[in-house]
Amino acid sequence: MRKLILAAAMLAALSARADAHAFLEHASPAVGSTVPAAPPELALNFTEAVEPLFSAVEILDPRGGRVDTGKPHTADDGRRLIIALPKLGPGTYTVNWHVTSVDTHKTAGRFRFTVAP
Amino acid sequence: MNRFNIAAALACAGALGPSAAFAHVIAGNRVFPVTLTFDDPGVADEASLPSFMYQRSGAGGGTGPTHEYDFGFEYDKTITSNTALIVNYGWDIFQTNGSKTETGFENLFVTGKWQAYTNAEHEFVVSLGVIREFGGTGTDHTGADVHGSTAPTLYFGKGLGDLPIGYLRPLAITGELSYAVADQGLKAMPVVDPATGLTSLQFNNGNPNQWSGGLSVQYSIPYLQSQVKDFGLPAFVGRLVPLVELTWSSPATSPSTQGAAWTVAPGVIYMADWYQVGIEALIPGNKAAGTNVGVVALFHVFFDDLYPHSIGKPIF
Repeated sequence: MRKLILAAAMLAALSARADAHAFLEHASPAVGSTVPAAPPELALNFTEAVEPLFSAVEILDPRGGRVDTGKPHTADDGRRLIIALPKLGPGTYTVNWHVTSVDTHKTAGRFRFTVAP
Repeated sequence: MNRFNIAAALACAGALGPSAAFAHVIAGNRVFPVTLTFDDPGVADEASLPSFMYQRSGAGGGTGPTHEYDFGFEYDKTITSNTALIVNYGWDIFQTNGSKTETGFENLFVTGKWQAYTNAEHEFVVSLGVIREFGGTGTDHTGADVHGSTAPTLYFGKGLGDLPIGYLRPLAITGELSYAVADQGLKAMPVVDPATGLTSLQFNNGNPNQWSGGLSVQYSIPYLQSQVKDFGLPAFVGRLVPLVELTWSSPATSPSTQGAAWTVAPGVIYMADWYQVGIEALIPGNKAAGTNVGVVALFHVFFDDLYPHSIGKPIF
């Protein structure tokens, strides 16, 4: 019985987790996708809440020029990072992101999407 | 299971060290998961609770086969953001048909490790470490050596995400190379049998110095989904990392009583937010590594994710 209580306590301690690294769960436009129309915004959904003040998104056009304007903001309790986009022309865009989760862990990533009307 | 020497352990069931000291590491866009048969290239606050290995050996003869079950425990504590101390201990069960079941502890291993170089852009990590085996801290009748060893060790990890190779970008390679200097060297003494006059060699209870290493090739589906192309895979599949690990060991000094041994371990790792679970087959690569397929599994928790403000952060 004592072993069972100890095991339950250990499990509870492990389950009462804080926050982990924020990894990209999915994005819109999706990673590696081709979309028929220019998206009005880019949304990044993370596994954990992120701190917008310590997070950044950079979007590069096919020639390597930045097209993002303004700061990203969060939604969905901080798990979604959104940045408005100007009217994008046809081409492949590169997204570089780095975020800090609410427990200060840092993660980064990069992907592409293509606009092909 | 000896953290840097599964192949050697398979070759000599009963002479096993403690379970692997592993650390997960992030380099840029790459997360290197915790490999099961040898150490990873980074440092972190984490623990194996536990690792498990099963191996069958010695099927021939009157007393075999022997079923061996090893449980390994490990605690990794970061001292600074790029240095850590790692403690390994293990407990083994040996069941031989027709014989009494034997149980005992493995020797204690302590590793000092320095994550010396991290290149985020190129997903590249190099670490240096020293693994100290404390001889006589385990149970001798289950194979724990009375003599220890000290092993300078090099670790590396390289993700291929910076290369223009499309769907191969989720690939990564990690490796380890270690040279263990035995506290007590193995010595051979010629002994003449007075009855026959024949000369034979008698060995002391020392060990030869030893090279050992590991190499893993892993394909990260999380990387594929988040960096290359989102195929809309089910969430469970999107957290899997299939991989193949290769471990090898070879005596570096003469005399030695065993030759080189190597083992292949194909398997898969599931990466959750604060833990990972992995399982691999242990396939002997040559006769010296055994003749039966075994299995190794690992439940590993990341304290830096679980308790980032207390035990999950560096001391300094």
